[in-house]
Amino acid sequence: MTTVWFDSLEVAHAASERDGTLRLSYFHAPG
Amino acid sequence: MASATLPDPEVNEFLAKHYRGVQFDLANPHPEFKDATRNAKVIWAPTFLIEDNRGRELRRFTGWLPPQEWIAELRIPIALDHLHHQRLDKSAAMFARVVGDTPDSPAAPEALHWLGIVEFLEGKRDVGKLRARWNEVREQYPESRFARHSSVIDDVSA
Repeated sequence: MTTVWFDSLEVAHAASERDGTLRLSYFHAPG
Repeated sequence: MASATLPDPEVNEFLAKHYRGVQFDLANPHPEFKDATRNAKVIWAPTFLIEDNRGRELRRFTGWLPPQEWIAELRIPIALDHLHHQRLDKSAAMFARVVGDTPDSPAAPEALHWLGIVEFLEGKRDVGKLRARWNEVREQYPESRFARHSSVIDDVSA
């Protein structure tokens, strides 16, 4: 099982709704 | 610590089971993510924003933690989501898991405090259950802010 990180918000939200999972937004910066 | 926590196998398994995620590079934002980044009003990195599957914010926190403590932090919004949907048994189980698996984590006092609330609701508003849990918070985590929150139980009559 691998972490599901999406490149599209729309797809991520659809997956969350379909799978009954929560949404995680990870804001990062270099360095 | 990002390099230690995010690739951790247990973290990965946990995320895959409970979360669908998007990564936002604040220095070089993806064109599609610019509005979401602006709306989130993030002022420090890393920031983790957790929402339910309709976009209601459940929790946000800043900074990395070791894998087990990070998982504990991400169990709190799962338990809150169960509570919002009146799945009290699942909510109680998730809060109890935070306390049981990671009693020394920063999330544990909060989870124990919430466990008292869920058990109060499950027990037809039994103040005795709330009092027992909140007194546990005060005894086990006397320096935590949740010990202070829990101390209000002294003002509640049986």
